[in-house]
Amino acid sequence: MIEVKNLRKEFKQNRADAGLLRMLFGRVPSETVTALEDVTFNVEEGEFYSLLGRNGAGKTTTIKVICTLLLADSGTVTVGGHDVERESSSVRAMLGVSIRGERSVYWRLSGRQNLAYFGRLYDVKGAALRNRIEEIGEIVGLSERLDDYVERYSMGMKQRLAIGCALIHRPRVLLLDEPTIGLDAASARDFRDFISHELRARENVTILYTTHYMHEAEEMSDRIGIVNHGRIVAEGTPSKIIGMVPGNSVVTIDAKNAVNIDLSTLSALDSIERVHAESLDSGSSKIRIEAVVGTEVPVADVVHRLTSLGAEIGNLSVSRPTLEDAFLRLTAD
Amino acid sequence: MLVQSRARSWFITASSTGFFFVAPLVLMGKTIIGEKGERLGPFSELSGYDNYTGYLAVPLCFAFLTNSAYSWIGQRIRSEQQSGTLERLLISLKYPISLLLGGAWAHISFLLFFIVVGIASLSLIADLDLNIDWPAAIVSGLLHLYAVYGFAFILSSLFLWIRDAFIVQQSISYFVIPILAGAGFPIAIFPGWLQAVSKAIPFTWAFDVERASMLAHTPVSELWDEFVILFVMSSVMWIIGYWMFNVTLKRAKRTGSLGLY
Amino acid sequence: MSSNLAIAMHVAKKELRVQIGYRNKFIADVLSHVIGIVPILLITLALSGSSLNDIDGITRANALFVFLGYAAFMAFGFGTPIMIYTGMAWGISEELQTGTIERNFLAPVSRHTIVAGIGIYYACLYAFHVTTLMILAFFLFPSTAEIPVGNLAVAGTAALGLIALSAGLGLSSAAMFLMIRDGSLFLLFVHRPFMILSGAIFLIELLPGPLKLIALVNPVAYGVDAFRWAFSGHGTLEDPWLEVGIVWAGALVAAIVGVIVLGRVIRRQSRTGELSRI
Ligand SMILES: Nc1ncnc2c1ncn2[C@@H]1O[C@H](COP(=O)(O)OP(=O)(O)OP(=O)(O)O)[C@@H](O)[C@H]1O
Ligand SMILES: [Mg+2]
Repeated sequence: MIEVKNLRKEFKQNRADAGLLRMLFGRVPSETVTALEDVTFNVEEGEFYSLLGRNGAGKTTTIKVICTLLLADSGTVTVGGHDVERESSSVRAMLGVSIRGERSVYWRLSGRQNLAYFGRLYDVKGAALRNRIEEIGEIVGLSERLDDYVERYSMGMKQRLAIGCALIHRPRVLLLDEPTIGLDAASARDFRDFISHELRARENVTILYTTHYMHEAEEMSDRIGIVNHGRIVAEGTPSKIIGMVPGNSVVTIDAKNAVNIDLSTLSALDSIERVHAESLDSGSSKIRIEAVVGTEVPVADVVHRLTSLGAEIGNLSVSRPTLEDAFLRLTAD
Repeated sequence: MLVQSRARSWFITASSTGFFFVAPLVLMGKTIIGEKGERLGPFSELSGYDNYTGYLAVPLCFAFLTNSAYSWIGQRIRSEQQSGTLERLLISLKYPISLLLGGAWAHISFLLFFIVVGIASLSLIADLDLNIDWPAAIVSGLLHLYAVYGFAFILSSLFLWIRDAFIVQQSISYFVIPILAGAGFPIAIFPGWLQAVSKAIPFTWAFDVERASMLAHTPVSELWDEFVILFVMSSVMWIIGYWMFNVTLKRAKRTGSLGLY
Repeated sequence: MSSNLAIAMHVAKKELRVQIGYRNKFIADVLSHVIGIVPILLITLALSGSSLNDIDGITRANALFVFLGYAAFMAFGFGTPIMIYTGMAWGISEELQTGTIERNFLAPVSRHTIVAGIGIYYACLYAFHVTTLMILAFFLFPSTAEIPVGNLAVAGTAALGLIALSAGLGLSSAAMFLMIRDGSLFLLFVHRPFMILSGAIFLIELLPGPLKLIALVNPVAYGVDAFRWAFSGHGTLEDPWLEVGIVWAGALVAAIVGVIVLGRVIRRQSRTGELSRI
């Protein structure tokens, strides 16, 4: 649905450290910042694709190019087969976009007026528009506040309204740049549910998403692209991304009567890399079992062996490398 | 200063304001009086001056250029409000009033420069025929500035008090003051009660001494009374302005309107 | 085309709503043209040697001259000091600052349509200014109410021409606002010269040589003159209908230039990324 090929974008930035007089009268020295080196990725129809990256990695820039606000230096982007540069108007009609959420709505209008206005810009009108506004009010949880001035909304409410405006024309493709920033936990949850259940399951909307919340990306994405310094450095399903970094799945067990157990029976199991035990003052032991990279500790087997050897198992915890670990590794300088 | 200098056009705009707004009015004077002063009689009888171009140009120039002081301060507050830095600034300043005073000196030197530029550029389109008594002119100018800053204080409180105060402030400083203070015309054309109102405004006196010192070469010794009146009135404005600023600031903090814009 | 118009109208309506939201500014927008004439009339009065209590015939004639010129000029907008910031360019700069312009540009309509919509709002505002001033004129100068229909046609077309000219220039100034954030340079070098050289409140003949030449190629001057002729019978430049033609020709040129310039600036900005930066 979205095809981004060899995208490259440089910005010229004026330097702020020029002297006062120079700023007033002279040419301000500038430097070039490469926001996108070479970005290539595809988002399939109906897919949920997340771009993750550190601040300044180029996520917003990529989204702006896709939504026709920014022209790239080179490379091509098509949405639903339409080139963003040559057929920008049909591309825009297909897209619902939320960038800089709270700033993209009119604070001096009410929520309803904002929705109506943007609806009209997308050629939604009359009764259809009115119904849709009510629907959106429900979806983003603003039904009761729709007739208030936006400036009286809290930040999260503005953000929600902005998302509402992006949805007003039932877009087939949604570009959401950090949409859950400023949302409380419950609203963010509702919003994610709405995306997964309503938009994706029922309407098969394609979504390109950026966020700094790893759990969000992990939970919702079909695929994740990690952007670093203007390049996609890793791409794949969340579990594939997690698997890309060395890091072991670890099981920690507190057990009684385990002091004399021969731990080599555990190390003999497949996919176990290392076992380590230490005795605790209380007389019980803490056993730490690490799996071979890319595999999991066979918890059931481990428990079975330990109990058959007479150990009483107290606490058991499993920890896996998280998306965050992977992210930190992949974007490290 | 730093913030201002990024908008370099502000500099140019401010320096040309005098010319662009006053020149049409001076030309209007020419249209009405006649190119060679054919119909000057009634006007000089009314105002006591023969030099109608100077009569228009001097106070109007001062009026328009000192307005830039108001907009300067006002805009400063507004832009800080808009970019969300006002709250930040007020947190970090020990005396909030220094927000207004900061940079004022730079602005005053700009202003004096602009007044000179304004009057000079006007001489291009009309013979202003100035006849200046320098000591008196300088005292008048300084007292005028003193009054301007006092009034600017009062106006800047508006910014903390009402939204969109910019436009209110502009209306006051462009219309109410020039009209009531008789910039460009003698207040003798007003009916009596309006003349009384007019005399209660320091700027009326400021324009008066400026005309006297710059057009009629009146020395300081003959303007003492006016200077004292102007000084006292302006001082009162400073006091009111300081008080209002603190009151409105408190109010804004209470209602939380600092962050709104 | 018709849907573009509908959308532009919708943008205009939104602009009205937003402007009403800026309550004080809105009040100034709908009132300041009336307040703005006051100091000018008072100066006219004094120059003519009258006072408010006693106004003679010559003063009245002078005042009518000034009033009509001012009213016509209001069609062009930007007339009073505090309104220099109104107009399309103002609307755009405000949206730039609040960040909504970017959101508008995401809609599948031509970006010109959005800008034009903002322009429609201001065109209506200016039309309102002229109309209210002329209603006021009927009371202050009863003779203006007794003009023939033909003159009314001249006045109407001249005023509309000035509004169109203002909108055309508005496109360029909007472009300028987009480009340098702060369009006061454009106001300074284009709008204000247009204003001062329009002869709205003085006779163009009195300008010194080079300025007079510029004034004579300024379409606004002809619009003002035609309008004044229509209500007072005194014109100083050309045949009134010819003058109206000049204004409309100017408006057409300004519109074409404006569309091209704005298109280029928007394109350029989407390359540099400035469009979406505050
Ligand atoms: N309009 C612009 N002019 C100049 N440089 C820009 C502009 N927009 C972005 N940049 C630069 O491009 C780079 C990428 O910015 P971008 O906004 O895409 O980052 P991001 O990944 O969205 O970061 P964040 O997570 O902080 O939102 C940054 O170095 C930024 O400074
Ligand atoms: Mg970003």
